[in-house]
Amino acid sequence: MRFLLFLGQRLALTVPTLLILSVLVFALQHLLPGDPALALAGEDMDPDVVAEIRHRYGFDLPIWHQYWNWLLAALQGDLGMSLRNSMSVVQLLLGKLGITLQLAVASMVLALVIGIPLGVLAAARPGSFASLAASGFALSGISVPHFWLGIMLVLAFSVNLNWFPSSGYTPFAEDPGRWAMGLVLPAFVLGTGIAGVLMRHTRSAMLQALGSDYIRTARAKGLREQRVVLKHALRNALVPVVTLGAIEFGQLLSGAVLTEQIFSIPGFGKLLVDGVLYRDYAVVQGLVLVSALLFIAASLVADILYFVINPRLRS
Amino acid sequence: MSAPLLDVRGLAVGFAGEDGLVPAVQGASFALGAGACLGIVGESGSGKSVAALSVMGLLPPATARITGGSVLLDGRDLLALTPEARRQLRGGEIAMIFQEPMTSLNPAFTIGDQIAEAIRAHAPMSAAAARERAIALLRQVRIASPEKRYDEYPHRLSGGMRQRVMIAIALAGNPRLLIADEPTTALDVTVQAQIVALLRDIQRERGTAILLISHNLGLIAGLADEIAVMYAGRVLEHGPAARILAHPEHPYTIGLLGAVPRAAPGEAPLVGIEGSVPDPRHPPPGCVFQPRCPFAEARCAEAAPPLRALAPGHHAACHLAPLEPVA
Amino acid sequence: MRILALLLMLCCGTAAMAQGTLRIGIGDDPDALDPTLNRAASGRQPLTAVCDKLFDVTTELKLEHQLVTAHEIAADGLSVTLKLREGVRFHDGESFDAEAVAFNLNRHLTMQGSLRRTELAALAGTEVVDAHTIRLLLKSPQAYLLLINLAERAGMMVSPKAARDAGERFALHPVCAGAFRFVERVPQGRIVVQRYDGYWNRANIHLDRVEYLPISDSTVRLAGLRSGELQIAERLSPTDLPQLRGDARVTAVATPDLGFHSIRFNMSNGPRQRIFGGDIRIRQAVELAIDRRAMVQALFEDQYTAGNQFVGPESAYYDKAHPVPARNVARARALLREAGQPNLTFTLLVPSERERQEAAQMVQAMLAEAGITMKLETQDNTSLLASSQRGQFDAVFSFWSGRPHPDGNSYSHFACAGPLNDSRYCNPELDALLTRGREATDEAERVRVYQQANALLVRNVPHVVVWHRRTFTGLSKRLAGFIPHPDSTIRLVGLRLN
Repeated sequence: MRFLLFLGQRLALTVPTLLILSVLVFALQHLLPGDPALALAGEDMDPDVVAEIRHRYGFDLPIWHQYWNWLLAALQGDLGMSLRNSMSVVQLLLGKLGITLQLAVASMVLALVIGIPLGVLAAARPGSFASLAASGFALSGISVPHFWLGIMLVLAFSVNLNWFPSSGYTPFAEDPGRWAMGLVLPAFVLGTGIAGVLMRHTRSAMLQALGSDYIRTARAKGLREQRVVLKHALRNALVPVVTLGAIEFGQLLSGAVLTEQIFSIPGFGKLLVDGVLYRDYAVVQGLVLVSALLFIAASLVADILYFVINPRLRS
Repeated sequence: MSAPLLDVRGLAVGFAGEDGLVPAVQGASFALGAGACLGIVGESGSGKSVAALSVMGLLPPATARITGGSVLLDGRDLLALTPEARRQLRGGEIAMIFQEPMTSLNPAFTIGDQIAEAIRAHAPMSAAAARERAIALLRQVRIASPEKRYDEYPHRLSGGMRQRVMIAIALAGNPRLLIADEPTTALDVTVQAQIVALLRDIQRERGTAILLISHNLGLIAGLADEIAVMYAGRVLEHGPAARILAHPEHPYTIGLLGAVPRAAPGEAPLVGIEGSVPDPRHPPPGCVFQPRCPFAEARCAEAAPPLRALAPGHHAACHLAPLEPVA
Repeated sequence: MRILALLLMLCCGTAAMAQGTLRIGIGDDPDALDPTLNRAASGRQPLTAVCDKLFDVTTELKLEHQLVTAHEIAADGLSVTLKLREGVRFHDGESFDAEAVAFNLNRHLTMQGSLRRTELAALAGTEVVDAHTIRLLLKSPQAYLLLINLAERAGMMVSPKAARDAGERFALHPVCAGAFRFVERVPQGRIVVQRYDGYWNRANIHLDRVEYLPISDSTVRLAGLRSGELQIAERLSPTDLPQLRGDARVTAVATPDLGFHSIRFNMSNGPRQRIFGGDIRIRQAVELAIDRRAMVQALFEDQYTAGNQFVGPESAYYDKAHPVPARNVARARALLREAGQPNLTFTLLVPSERERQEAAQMVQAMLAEAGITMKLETQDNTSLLASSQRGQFDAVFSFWSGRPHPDGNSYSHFACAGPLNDSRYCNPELDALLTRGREATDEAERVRVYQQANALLVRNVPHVVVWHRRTFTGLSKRLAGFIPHPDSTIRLVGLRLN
């Protein structure tokens, strides 16, 4: 019951958060130097065309008026049109949501599969070679720049070995094999960074858990060490790790700008970069709001997970 | 005494420190008969808990080193067993409960789950059967409504109840030896008495031998058949409980008894023992207690007194024992 | 073991899929796929596949017929009669006829958001003579220029029925009369087109399917070519070329680009004109301090061409009497002293694009040797456009993509009323020349006029052209029949995949 109240509160806070965010983003975009009408007018820059564009898209209106128009439309489900390719923003976002989700999930799965076991290993055998190797891996995962790693992987695995496509996204319905292969390298780039973070948190949470009294009790029961570590310690260590993981996942949902750029994955990241560079206001506005919504959802899920995993919170 | 169930001989344990090994137990010997209760009493740093953990095999492997002695269970030296063999005895033949019941249970699992896990670790059975047995155990440790309690999480239970759960877990493998390390120290006085009564019943009804460790002489007095007094890693005196309590021979034991608060105030004043436990890396020459001993003589600093029999079953390590009774 | 087999099967499977399909890696995601609305140059690639034009240009930039079979310019130069190709159908089955042409030209002129108006500025109206003959009526005698402009997007013909039915949404699914029909588009993902069996020139089309894949990083584009996923990678940079030398699977072809890179001075656009707008000696000094050839060598592996006029040295319109000058630091210093500015300081506005960033730094170093302090100010493209137009610059590092007709490289930039004349350079003599050039129908006269225009610009130095690019296109060895074109547009006729 208390939890439902908490959930309700969080959901209620979402609306004003999004509203304030929309105002901020709108203002920020319009503070950027440059005249979007010029950018849209084509290379020849016909002055009549420029004036017409300015009027057609409302750039000659005061900012608050432009925002108001946008808000009214948004409340009716219309997020406007992309100035670049005349597609509806809602359509654009929906189309890319799936791709962004797929990349985010793939990266997260990879990160979990690599990061958590390494963290457990490093905590269970401190000072061992495995632990040192895991630390080294974590550090490099966090420090190596994505764009460098991405291009190196492309050169090694696509150009030289031909194992994976070098760029692009193929829908699952069209070719499941190619879809999967196309996600491996970018998911790896994104996943290793997060794996490093997860590994460090898992290790420290595990070390803390392993030092607890209930671990002594578990050993006193005569349980196998493997069970002590994987059932008793890990279960408790997962609590902070899972919440961290949910937050990281939320960040992935905003799109991975560099990785998408390198691998030409048409997700949110690329859309955002192009939108900002070309002053495609409606796209940036809609995208930021959707990303914020997704992030809020992810942190809500984190809270729910925390509640589920941690019996102490249930009254 | 017939062949003891547990026979610890000359146990020596140290911990790896910055400047070498720090000794925690130095040549401690004590024995416990089947179905009997041995109380090991001593202040913090006496090495009593370390000795108990050595019997259990729960010393931290990274830092602890057993440097000598033997721990015989039914004649078998546990220290000579493989870690796997020792693990199988843990929770089965030998069980242990600890001082901090508030943190000794895993908060993520129900208490029933944790008891059933202990049951199934030593006797293969179905989950349903283990549940039945766990509920029975809960009943045995005097927890009301055990069927309901089975599905509760530890944070819903009081300290006393958690300690009872710990005892239930310890009993799950039908141990012949139960080690209780300061089982009541963290509990209220009223709850203490209940736990003591429970332990007594367990000893009587199941015939489980109990190794009770405490700094609380009153607790020991209430349960123990035999008492061993440890100080600075050594056993200074041991013997039948009644005798030790009535006729302590070692000055340290005397001091401990003098320092025990009695029920009737206003009688003999509390007499503390001056000084503090010596640094284990730099023990005093000769008798380890002599710097604090009010009866110390010159020879006490020259040679460490061996454990000598003063009466059948009653040993003390003091040059001056037996003491003349003070009129 | 099984996993290895699965991997092998997957990668071989993907290779097999490519046989009927040509995959082209392009540098940017095109904007609206509507010939009237399409803005950026990247749109030309897929549009060329889907939409045939009235005219085309050859690799020598001469006019060529496509949907038109004959044309005749009237004596007074104010009208052009076009004979249209018969038997041509749009992808939706509608007929291509004079009414369709009239509809399209009207659409280009009047549709809201049309970006083709400048190119068709000379067109007054059309007159349908019969089903396959149409007369174009001009406002001023710029017939040849108009026809050249009809060899680009302004000459692309869409199906009038489809355009009317789709309205604003036509760009989402263009219907034209080209060799390929539009299939689908994933924004920033890919554009897919499929062979149109009713194409009038289908005998010369040997591909089933073409995919355009925007890949913004040229290194990754090249990687895609080398791994076999792409068969064409457009716009490789000169620094990518060494990678290709050792690779037997790929090759690169080069053509001179139609455009130019130049440093433009603020001549009379607002208060900041005072540095360069007054004294020609200062501008000359800057030019003399720059070593164009050294730049090309150092920055572009000697693959680009040093230049000093708005067309490249190999162009017919180039004034050979004014070749690319050699660097002369001593003379530059002397000029500055004479002009009373021995320690000239100014700021160069540069976009964040890599080639110009590196070049600007090199220029900075070269100018320093002449005692000139050049500061760099970097802005992103959109901001730079605005700053440039508002005159908020001393000098700006510009790039113009180039047009087949020399008017496209000069009028907008240097005529007094030219919309791209951010320098606000105004020279009536030049205006007269440029106007004559627009109207010249005779080639010899045209060449003469533009050479004179170039000479004038070289003498007056309102800008310093630095280099002309060459475009490099990476090709798979499996591809046959590829002819590189100076306008960088990939024409699919005659291409074959082995």
